[in-house]
Amino acid sequence: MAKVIFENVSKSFGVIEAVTNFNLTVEDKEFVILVGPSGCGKSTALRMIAGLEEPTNGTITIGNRIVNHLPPKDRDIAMVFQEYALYPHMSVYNNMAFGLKLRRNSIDEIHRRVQEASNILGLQNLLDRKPKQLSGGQRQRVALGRAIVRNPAAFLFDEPLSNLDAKLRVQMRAELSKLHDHLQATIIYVTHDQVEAMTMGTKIVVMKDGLIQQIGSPLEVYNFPVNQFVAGFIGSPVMNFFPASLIFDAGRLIIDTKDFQFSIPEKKVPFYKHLAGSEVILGIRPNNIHDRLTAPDPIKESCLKAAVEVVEPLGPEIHLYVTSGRHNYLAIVGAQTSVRVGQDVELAVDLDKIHLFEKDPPNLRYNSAL
Amino acid sequence: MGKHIKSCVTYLILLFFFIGFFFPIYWMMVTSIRPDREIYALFPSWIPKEVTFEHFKTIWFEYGFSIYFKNSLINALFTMGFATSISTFGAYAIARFRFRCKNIFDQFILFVYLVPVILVIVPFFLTLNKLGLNNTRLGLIIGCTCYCLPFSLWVLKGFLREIPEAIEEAALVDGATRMQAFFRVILPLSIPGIIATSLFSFILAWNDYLFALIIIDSEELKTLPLAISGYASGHDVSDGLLMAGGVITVVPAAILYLLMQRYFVSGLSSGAVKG
Repeated sequence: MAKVIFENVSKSFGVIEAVTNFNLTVEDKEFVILVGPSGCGKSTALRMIAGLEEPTNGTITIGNRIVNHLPPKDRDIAMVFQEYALYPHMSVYNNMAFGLKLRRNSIDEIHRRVQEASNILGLQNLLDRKPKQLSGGQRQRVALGRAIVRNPAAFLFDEPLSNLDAKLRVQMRAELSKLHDHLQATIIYVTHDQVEAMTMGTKIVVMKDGLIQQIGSPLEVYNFPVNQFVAGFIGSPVMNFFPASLIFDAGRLIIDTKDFQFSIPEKKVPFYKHLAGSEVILGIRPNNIHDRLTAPDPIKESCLKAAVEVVEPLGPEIHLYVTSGRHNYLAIVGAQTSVRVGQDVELAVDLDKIHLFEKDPPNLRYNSAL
Repeated sequence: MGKHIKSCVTYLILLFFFIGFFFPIYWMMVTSIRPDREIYALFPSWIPKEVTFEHFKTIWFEYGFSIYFKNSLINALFTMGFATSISTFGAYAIARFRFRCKNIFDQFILFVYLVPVILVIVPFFLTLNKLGLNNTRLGLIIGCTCYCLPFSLWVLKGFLREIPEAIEEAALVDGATRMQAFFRVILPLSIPGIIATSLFSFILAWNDYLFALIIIDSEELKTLPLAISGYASGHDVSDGLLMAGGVITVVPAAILYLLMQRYFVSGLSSGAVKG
C-alpha cells in the first residue's frame, strides 16, 4: 500500500478547467472519498491517478514515484469502474486472472490469488460463468475481485455502487467498509452520494467546479462546513438556509432574518465578529430545530413561531415542513409531537449548532484555516 | 374482412417481388443441370425432367473455369484479408483516438461511393501502370481493397464505438499495453463486425467485374465475372454452359453469406444504426 499525493494538479479540456489547483495527500491505508455534484471534477481527478487522463499541470505521486508520464499498467493501481467494465467474453475466473496473466504470474499463483479473492467475495461457485449470467451485485463483486487479486498500491473506485438498486447499495456499502478493514488498503473512492461519503470514508474531499471546497473527516465536514455549498451538500435532509443580517448591538451579535432574530451564543462570537454589519446566510440543520414543548431545556429560549404546512411521520421522528414569514424550511422533531397541518407551532433552535456563511464570498475555496 | 383483403394484397405484392427476384436465379440453376435438348425445347418445363452435370464438367475442365475460379478465390480472399485488417485498425483509431481532421474524415468516409466507379478506375489504372502493377493479381487485389475500405471502415467504426471505453480502460489498468488491450479485449468483442466487413469485402471482390476488366489483360489471370462476360459475348454460346458458369460464380458467395448471415446482419445493424 502507498501514499498518493496531488501537488498543484490541474486538468483542462480545451478552455474548460475540469480540475483546478488540486492539492491532496492520501495517506497509506486511508479511505478517502471524493464527493461532489456531477461535473465537479472528482472522476477526472481519479482518472488522473489511474493514468487514464494526463494532468495539464502539477504532479501526482504514488508511493515514492511521480507517475505523471507512466502508463496505467505501470502505476500499480487497480480500478473499479461505475459500469463494472468486466470483459464480456471471459469467464469470472478469467476476468479476475487477466491482470495476473498479463504480468506473467505462474498458473499456481494465479489460481491461488483468484481462489483467495473469490472466497472473500463469495464468488466460489460463479467462477465459470460469464458476466451476462450474473446479477448486478455479483458483477460488482467480480469487479472488486479483479482489483483485489492484483494487491495494488492503491484502489480506485469510480462510483461503483451507482448502478445498483437501493437495497443492494446499502449492503455493498457495508461490505466495502469491511473489505477496507480486512485489506488495510489505500482506497480513493468517488461518489456523488453524500450518504456513501459520510458512512464509508475516513476522510472526505468535497469538490465543486473543479475546486476542493473542504477536506476533513465525515463529522468535521458535517459539523464544521466551511461554506454554504459544503453545508448544503453534506447532510441529509439538506440544511435550511435563511438570508439574514448580522448586527452588532450592545455587545451582542444578533442574527436578523426579518421574520425572526437570535442572539449568537457568546462562544461563537469570535468566529463571526468579522461578519458584523454584512449580509449573511444562516444555516440550521433540520434536526437542530425542535418542538419547543419537547426540546431540551437549554435551548427552549431560542424559539420561533411557524405555521405547519406538511407533516411527514417517519416512525421515530416527524418531518415538519413549516413557514415563518417568508421562510419555508424543514424541522425534524420527535415522534411525540402532536402538531397537525395548519396549526401554529413553537420551534426551538439549538444555537450551538447554527452556521453563518458569507452571502457573496469572493470564491468558494477550501479554507485550510478552518 | 377488410383486414384479410389487405393481408392478401400484401402477400401478393411480396410474392410478385419474390418471384421477380428469385426466378432468374432459379432458372439459372435449373438450366445448368438440364441437358441441351431440354434447354432448347419449344416449351421447357419448370422442373427438369432429366438432370445432368455435364455442363459443369465441361466448363470446369475444358473452358478453364477451374483457373478463373482460383483467380477469383485468390482475389477475394486477399482482398478480404487486407481490407479487414486495415479497416479494423483504422476504425479503432477513429473510434478511440483524437487527431486532426478526424470529424471531417469521419463524415466523408463514404464520400467515395458518390463518385461513379468508372471515374475512380481511370486514375487508378494510370497509377497502377506507373507502378508496373497492371495485369497483375496484386494490382487487382489493391484495387478491390481500396474500393472496399471506406464501407468496411464505416461499419467497423460504428461497431467499435459501441464497445464501452471503460472495458478497454480496465484492461489498461489491469496491465495491458494498448496493443494487448486491442487484441485480447477489443478484437474478440468485434467479431460480428469483423465478420460482416470480411463478408462484404469477399463478396465485393468475388463479384467484381469493372476493376478486373480494366486491370486484367491476360487469360490466365481472368476472374469468373470477366470469364462469363467473355463467354457470353462470344460465338456459339451454350446456355447450359453459361448457366453452369453462373452457378459456379454465384454459389460460393451465397453459401458463405448463408453461413455467416447472422453476423452480417448484426454487424451491419450495430454499426449502421449508431454510426
